[in-house]
Amino acid sequence: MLIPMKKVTLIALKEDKEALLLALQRCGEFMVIDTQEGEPEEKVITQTDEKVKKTEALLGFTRKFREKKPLFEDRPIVNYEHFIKGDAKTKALVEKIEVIQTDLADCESDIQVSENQNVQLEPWKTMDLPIEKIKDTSNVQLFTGYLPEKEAADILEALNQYTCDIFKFGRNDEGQACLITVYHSESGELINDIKNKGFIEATPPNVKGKAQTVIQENNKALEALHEKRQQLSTEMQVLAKEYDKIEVLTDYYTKISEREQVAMTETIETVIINGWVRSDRFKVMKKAVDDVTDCYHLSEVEPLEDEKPPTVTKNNAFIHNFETITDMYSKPKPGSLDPAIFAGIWYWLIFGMMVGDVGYGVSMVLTIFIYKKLAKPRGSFLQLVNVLFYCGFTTIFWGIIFGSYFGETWKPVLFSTLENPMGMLIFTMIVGLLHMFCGMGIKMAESIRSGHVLDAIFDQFSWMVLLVGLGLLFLPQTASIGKYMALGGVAVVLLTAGRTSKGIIGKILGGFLGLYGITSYMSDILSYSRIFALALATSVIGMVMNLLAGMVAVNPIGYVFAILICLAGHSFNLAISMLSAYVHDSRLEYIEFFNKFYEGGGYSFTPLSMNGKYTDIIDSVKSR
Amino acid sequence: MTMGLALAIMGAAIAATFAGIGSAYGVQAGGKAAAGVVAEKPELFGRLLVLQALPGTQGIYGFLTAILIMVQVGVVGGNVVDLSVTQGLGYLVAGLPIGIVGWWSGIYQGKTAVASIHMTAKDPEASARGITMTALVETYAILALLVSILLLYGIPV
Repeated sequence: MLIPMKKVTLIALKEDKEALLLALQRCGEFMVIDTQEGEPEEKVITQTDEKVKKTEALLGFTRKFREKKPLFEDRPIVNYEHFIKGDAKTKALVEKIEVIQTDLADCESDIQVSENQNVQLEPWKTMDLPIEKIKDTSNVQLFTGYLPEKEAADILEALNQYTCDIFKFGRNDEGQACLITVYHSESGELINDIKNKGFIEATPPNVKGKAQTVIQENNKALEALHEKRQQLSTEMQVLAKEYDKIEVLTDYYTKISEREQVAMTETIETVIINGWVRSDRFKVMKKAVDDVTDCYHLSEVEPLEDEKPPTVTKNNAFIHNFETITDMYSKPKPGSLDPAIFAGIWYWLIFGMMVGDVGYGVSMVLTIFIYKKLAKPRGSFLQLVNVLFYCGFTTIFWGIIFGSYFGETWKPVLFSTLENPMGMLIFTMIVGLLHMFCGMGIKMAESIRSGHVLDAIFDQFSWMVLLVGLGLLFLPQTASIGKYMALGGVAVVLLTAGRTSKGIIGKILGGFLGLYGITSYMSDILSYSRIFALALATSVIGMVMNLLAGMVAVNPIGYVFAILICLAGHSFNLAISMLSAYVHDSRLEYIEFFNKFYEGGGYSFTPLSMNGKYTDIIDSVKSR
Repeated sequence: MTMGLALAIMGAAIAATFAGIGSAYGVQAGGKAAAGVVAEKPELFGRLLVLQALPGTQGIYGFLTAILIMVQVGVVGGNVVDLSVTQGLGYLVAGLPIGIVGWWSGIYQGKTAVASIHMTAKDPEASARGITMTALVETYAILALLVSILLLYGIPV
């Protein structure tokens, strides 16, 4: 059911602005309408936004230092009064963590630099000459570089032609480090010659002192740096215990930012805020404003034709969960029908048919129940988890009908999918026909309500008669009735489908085009055969697992393996069956069911609220 | 085993194999595109999963046809029927429509799914339209399935 919305305009004194926004946020019933349509305003990034970003980044950093991460995390719970004050201690803590983060980053980069330098110095270690002293003299020029492994012999031979000296040191990937001394007169020729032969000219890293000494100094520095890093990490590990508090602080800044972002018009003395409120909750919002000041003006009006209020749906605790399936397609448009109750019940039934196994149904119900207790999912994810939970029960139901227990067939009430595939195929198509008729029925009801009774008869009822007639043709007893029904349906479609076209030719053409729609009805019905295919796949794979387990269960060790095979195999089968059922059930709803009557196009109601991203904010005076 | 039975088994194999190839291609193409989007927008996972899985239907249809052929000739759960070569050839041909159309439509549907996934990445609200557009490709696989099933039950045994 859709809840009607009211558009409210609040005019209040500027001095009450802060308190009012806080009160509106606390009551959680007021969705701000952004100012004028047209080009969206550039979002101003305020100081608070910076703070949100900063604390969020620090959350990520701190998370790495938490000692043990629980599998299912509990969200911190914080009292409203406590929450809005902000926590000075945590603010200090955040600053401290920030300093540590910078220090740690510096430390890491220093370590990197020193380690790199050591690697570069390594081949020059045996050179008994301070590196800064490698300079040309008045007579002699010095070259440093590497002799690559393969070309070394060639180069050394070439050097024999010149008056020069070579000192060889350690090796690295490029070759052997060396120093060549040669008279200036020959230097140009020599260097060209050996470079052509493969000599790599390179200077050692630019440091002061002998390579050996520098490496030792670096090592000493590295030791200190490692120690510092260790120390900072330990410090962080202690601070990371306060992780929850940083989460609370992040939410605190986020909530401030939300209040700052509220779009409003200001005059010299007043502020004007427009927003949407659920018509049944208007009083709650009014009371929230009343508690702050009595100097305000609040008007509520019905939304105009061209205004698009947000969508709020209200359904019972069971159907509510299935709204997530509809929402994924599109939220219902305000003023239209909420399909959740029909879509929900069909989703529930068809999901069960697609998995259709008592054993799997029981496993679903049990595991999801335990998961819900442990992980405490929230929001739309909780809805989805609940959908699967409830679908567990229909899975058990259809499992009994088709007599499937962990892939084994036992006393089916109707028939077994494996033993009577043709029966199951026809059965799923009948289910599909009913599903489609339900959608068409809703469309008919809508047409009749808006006074278009003939449209309902021509566009939906004629097709229903035609399709039922076609179905009856297959049974010998009802074939003659079926023939008349089908022909009657065809006649009505032929004569009326073109009624909106102009001219007699257009009307005739429209009639034939309308009749061509039979192909889409046929493919819709056939599409339901996927229910059969998925149910069959579940049983066949389950059966194969049992078969495998049976093959190894010949001695005590075999029994252990058999149990393992059963556990792993059936878990795997259940997981893929649930995934395919979820996807294909959604698809049947969206394509085959919704296209008969439903058009979405709504958007969700997102009021100012005290719902934290990381925390649960508990408000004792909340009037819900 | 008669030659006819071997031909019928070939028909079942063709239906499952080629439709499966098409679906595997389609689902992997969708999966690659969806993975890229999920890296940026993890909240779209649910919507994208439906889009990715759409080209998977052909494989299911092929599997379905294969099982139906096997049941019909008694390879699964029953007495093996003595098939003549003509009958066996009939089953082989019955497996062709879903095998071939499933193969190609799976690939094409995968490409449409990729386009729809990109559209959903830009505008998550448009995912339902993307699902519809992608599902339209499947119509022809469904028609082929229908033909395969009608053929397969039309063979006198």
